[in-house]
Amino acid sequence: MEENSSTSNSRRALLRFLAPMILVLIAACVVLDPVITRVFVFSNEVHGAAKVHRMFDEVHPGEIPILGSSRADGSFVPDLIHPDAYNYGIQQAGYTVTRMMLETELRKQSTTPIIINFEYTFFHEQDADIANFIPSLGHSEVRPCMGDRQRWFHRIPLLRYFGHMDDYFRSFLADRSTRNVRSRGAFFLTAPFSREAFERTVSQRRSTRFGWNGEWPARDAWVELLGSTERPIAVVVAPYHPAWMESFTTPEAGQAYLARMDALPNVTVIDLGAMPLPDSCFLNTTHVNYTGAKAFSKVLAQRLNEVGFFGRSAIP
Amino acid sequence: MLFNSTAYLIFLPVVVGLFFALPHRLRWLLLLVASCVFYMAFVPVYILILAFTIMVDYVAGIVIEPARGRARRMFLVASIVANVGVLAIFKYYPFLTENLELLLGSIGIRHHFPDLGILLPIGLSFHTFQSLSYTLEVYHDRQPAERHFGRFALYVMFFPQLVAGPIERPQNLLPQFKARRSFSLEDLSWGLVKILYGLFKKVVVADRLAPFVDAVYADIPGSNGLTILLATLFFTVQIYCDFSGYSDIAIGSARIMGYRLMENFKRPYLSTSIREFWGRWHISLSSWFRDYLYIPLGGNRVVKWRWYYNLMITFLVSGLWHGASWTFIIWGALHGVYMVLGQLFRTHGPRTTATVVTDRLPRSRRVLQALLTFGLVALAWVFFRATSAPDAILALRKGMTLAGGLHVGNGTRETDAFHLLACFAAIALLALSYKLPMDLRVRHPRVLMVLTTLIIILFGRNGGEFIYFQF
Repeated sequence: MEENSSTSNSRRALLRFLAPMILVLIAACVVLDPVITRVFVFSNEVHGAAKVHRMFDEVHPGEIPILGSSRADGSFVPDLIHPDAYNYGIQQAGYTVTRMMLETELRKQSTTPIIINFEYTFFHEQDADIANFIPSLGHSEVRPCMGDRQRWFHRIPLLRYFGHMDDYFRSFLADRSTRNVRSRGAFFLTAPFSREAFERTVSQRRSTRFGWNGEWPARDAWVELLGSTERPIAVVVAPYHPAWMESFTTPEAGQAYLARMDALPNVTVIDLGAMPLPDSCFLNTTHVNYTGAKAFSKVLAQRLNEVGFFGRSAIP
Repeated sequence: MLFNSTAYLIFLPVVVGLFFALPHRLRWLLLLVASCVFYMAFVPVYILILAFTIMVDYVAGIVIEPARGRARRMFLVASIVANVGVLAIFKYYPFLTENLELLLGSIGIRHHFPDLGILLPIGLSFHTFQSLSYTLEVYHDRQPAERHFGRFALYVMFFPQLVAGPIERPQNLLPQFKARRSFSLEDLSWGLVKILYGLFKKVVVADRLAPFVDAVYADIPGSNGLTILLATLFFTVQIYCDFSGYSDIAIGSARIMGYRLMENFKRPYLSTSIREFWGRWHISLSSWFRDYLYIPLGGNRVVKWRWYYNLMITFLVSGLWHGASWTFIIWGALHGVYMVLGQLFRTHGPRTTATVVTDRLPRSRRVLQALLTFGLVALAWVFFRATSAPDAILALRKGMTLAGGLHVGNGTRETDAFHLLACFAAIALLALSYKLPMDLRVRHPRVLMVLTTLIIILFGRNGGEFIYFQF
């Protein structure tokens, strides 16, 4: 009898001790989560999470989306390409992420052209940072991008951002910094070119070898997706440094796939992968810097205008 | 299972809930099963090594207790050989054979020892030393042999301190498993504060500093002096927060169930001498070496040269305990040299404890001595962190020159200016936490808990394993 009463007292004491604390914590999480989401995550144009949110939850009629990975993010200067262009490039976005973005764009009642940065490693599936997708997990289409990295706490307010606040805050600051250049979703660091650091990346690149990802079934699915719309799509290969091209062992396979996409009636392929640019236009062997991005974007805009790409539109 | 994982976030409340729901006679079984689950979350098969150690030392305790004379000594030696043998095979075999091959090669004998291809079992040195301390205590008649096999197994395997300590003594832990425990709100409150403070140290401070340290120490030849110096400073803080954070979580987890584990860290970087540092850093290991190696060697009750020899041996073995590599041995040797030099330069004064002596010193001198001690400890950490002795020497040579600006990676996010500022902010936050009483007994623990939880969620990082798991 006494033991029962003591157990019951302990339970009551435990409840009295823990309950207020847990309630305060829950309240703090519920209040802080939307504040952080709005102020730090969605309010900047730099972070991939803001781009995913913009793609899914905002309507921008007449927008020409530029899709792709960090090479899209850092190579395409929307201001120099078209007044309605917006750069949706997301770091480390491969096939799965780009496909999710394209499918979402194609579901919209829009007839504008679409620009996609294609790379020879497009089908080498890589894991884009889950911080890009956590705030938009409410959309079932986003979940596959998390792969097996999705956890139960990614649905709990505030706790879902554990380990990712750095990313959001860094982007928030970068977006507001006057030292960097931003252009409708695109973001460019303006650090001076360092010959020594660049040479290091070149020698690292020259010591690696990689090729076209052979028989992946996604190759067919991707062509099918591109051909499933009447919206004009420009598939663009942004410049690589010659050291990168030397490391790529099967360029002919990549070229053959580009030709396959080019054969689609709504697709225009513009391959500027080997565009001659001086070393000073590169950040590393895969990415151009702001100078390189400007040079590339001007050439791209000219080529797209030459083929009348921006004048085309799907039949509404 | 990692303390900083979501699995542990579920595991601990479940175990604690079941612990208080079960009658006392079944609690040892629950804790033993929980400890097995905890350990098997790493590499399941390695539980067999633990089982071997437990069996050997359980039997050793029982046969040592009644034995006398030579037989008693033989049983102890057998237990030591078995425990050290496990360490030798799983931890030191590659190091021993590699050096033996070099040695044989230098005299013209070419021999290649087979590669056993075994991974180091997690926390091997910790539970081996804990188990060994039991047989040594039984041998010295300071602890009766434990007849209850389950309780003895739990003593070696108790999950909060199984993989990275504190290395407990049987006198402290075994009686606690026998005693009846009832739920205490005070234990719960203090335990939670301790766990959260440990998590703060690990995920907010240590895991934030780690990427910069890793980037710089992975490329010593390509890094300049100032960068290496900063990385060493960061590592000094990182290893403290990583390891003491683990200890805090271990102590807090045990305390929620009413078990009191020994304190392992007492703000070591505030020490004003290396001697004091070792009284505040990894206390459970330093006291282990003091009791089972340094004192049996003769301690300081011998002629001076022999005393210094004892100190050097103790620290060399301590270095070797940490890892099978020359860098750890040099790290241990450096601390041995510091201790010997400290004794040589020690001024004649009252032979009281270091703390009392320190308190009598003027504040400015205490600050200077603390800075000097911190510098010496940080210098030794270079060997602990570097991947090879030549790398460590290069790091020291470059660090002395302070040449060049901050070369922080190749513009990677983990080593950019934002990350550096965040590192300094984390260290500042740690310094601010020193305003709390050392025993973390605060007036409003719940406020502290809520604040710490929010800080962890907002500023924590997904780090991964604790550094000391590798030992």
